[in-house]
Amino acid sequence: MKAVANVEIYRPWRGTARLGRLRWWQLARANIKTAGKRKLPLFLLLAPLGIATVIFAFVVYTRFALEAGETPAALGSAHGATSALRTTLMAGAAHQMIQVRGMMIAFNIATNIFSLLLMAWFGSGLIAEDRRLGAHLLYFARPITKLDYLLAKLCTVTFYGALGALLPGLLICLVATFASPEWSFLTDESDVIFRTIAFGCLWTLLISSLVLCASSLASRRTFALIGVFAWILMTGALSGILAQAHGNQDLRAISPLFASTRIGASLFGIEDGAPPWSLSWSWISVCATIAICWIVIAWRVRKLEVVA
Amino acid sequence: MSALVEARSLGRFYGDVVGLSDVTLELEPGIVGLLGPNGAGKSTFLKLLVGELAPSRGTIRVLGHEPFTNRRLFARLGFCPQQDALYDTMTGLEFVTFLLQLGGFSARDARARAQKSLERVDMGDAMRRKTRGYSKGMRQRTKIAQAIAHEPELVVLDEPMGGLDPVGRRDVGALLHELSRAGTSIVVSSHVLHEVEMLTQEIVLLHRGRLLAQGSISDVRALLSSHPRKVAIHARDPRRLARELIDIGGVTSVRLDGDDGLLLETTDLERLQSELPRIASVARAGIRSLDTPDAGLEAVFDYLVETSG
Repeated sequence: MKAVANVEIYRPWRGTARLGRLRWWQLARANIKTAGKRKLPLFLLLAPLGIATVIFAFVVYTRFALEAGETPAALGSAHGATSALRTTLMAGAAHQMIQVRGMMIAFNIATNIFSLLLMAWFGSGLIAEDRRLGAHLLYFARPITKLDYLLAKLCTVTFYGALGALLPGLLICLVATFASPEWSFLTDESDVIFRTIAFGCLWTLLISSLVLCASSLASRRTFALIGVFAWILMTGALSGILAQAHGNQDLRAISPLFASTRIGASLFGIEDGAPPWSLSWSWISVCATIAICWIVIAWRVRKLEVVA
Repeated sequence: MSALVEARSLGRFYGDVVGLSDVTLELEPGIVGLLGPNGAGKSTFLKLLVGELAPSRGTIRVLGHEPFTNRRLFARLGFCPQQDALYDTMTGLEFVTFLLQLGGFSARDARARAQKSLERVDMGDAMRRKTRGYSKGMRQRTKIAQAIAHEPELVVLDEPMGGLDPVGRRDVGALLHELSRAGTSIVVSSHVLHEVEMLTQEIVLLHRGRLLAQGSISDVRALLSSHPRKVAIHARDPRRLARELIDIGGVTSVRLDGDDGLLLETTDLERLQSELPRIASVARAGIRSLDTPDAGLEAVFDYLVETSG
């Protein structure tokens, strides 16, 4: 090729090829930071969780405080023999009525919707917006593999999931630990901590998989958001209709939401009053949903450059 | 110096759709323009070049290495995609810093480099503003900044002037010339021919996924010897000149164009050019100007696209 206007100065590269460690973490950190800049939705979604955490933590604290023979200031102070009797009675009632184990499942049910909203809001644009903007083209022109990319996206959505599903539960456990007399919560009920972590992880993994799957399929964040809620509502409605039509409550497990509630009840050892559908079907439903989501995500991420 | 880019029978298919087919070429250092209409395969070629796509057929070597998932090679390449690619909630500085960190630079080093490269593309004043407030030109310059921030050996730019106003185009053109003078090789794609003509004379023409032509614009034009070349002459007496010119071998048509213009077509331009002074003298036609309007890139491209069907 004859050069005409080319400038024939060639600067051979003398640098060092840097690959960097934990490349996915750099990407995840940037994604978490970018998502976190939407402060209003973050506040609106975290505020109810914060309020619920404070309320549940106070109830747990009250139980242990009454057990220890103290009356929390918020419940009014007591003096004399009558008050001693009242405190003893209240302590007995509190011990009977307030079980941290039961509290945790109630808390999870009450706050799951907010952690779901957090993950859906902050996760639904992660792949869809990259594709729309073509940002992934910049990532893959750097030493970022598809696996790094997926790990980063999962890390981002699970970070927000953990804020909603794991952190409040652990805070309540922390309050229980410090409020319990002679560390009785740690010695008698420490399994609640592990069960809280296990359920939080399962819920976060399930919802993050759904959110990332919707994000990988949608061309815009809004569509992904709609997709997540449509899937949850549709499976919920379908499972309800099928269960009614066939008279088989196990069919409720088709909905990953119902299935995870059943698993949660089982994890916290609550058999009385647990949802009536099968635990094994619930596990199958949740695991199948996660597996299918990741197959779709892997397929879509593999095709990312082509569709750009 | 061996070729920076070597492609041998390179092909890429998307299912049944041909993205690129049987492309064999070599690109040498300097600025090379990759031209073709929309859907010609330019972006596919560039993605193959920067290792984002694997070839379906053939091979491509960039700086002596196969680029697909070659992470060590990525440090030597800079890529500016056609797509917008910027996160609205980040500032230009944060964005370039973050991409440099992905490339393996430490936070401090990445920030210093990002700052330097944004200043280089004249984004010094705006780099701390959120990108959502950037104009198209500023966004384009930020993307170019991220492509050059790690001082790559080869910069690949996909439609870098798309959507820019004339001033923006001029500025980006000047920046690319400056980079080239500093020794960086550049592959730039465009479907706007005069943009490429402004940057370089070295072109690669793609059409429907196939390599149509490669070389300097004048060389490519010379290849089209079978196609008659247009010559526009302005003279005092064009009619007399026309009578004389029609007898020259290779001239296929002559027609008058206005009061003093003459438009002719010849398959032998060299012969016409050598005989014209003598004829003009004999005919006393008083030639005022002579131009070959189809020697430009636009005309070359039109001919080639027509020829390839």
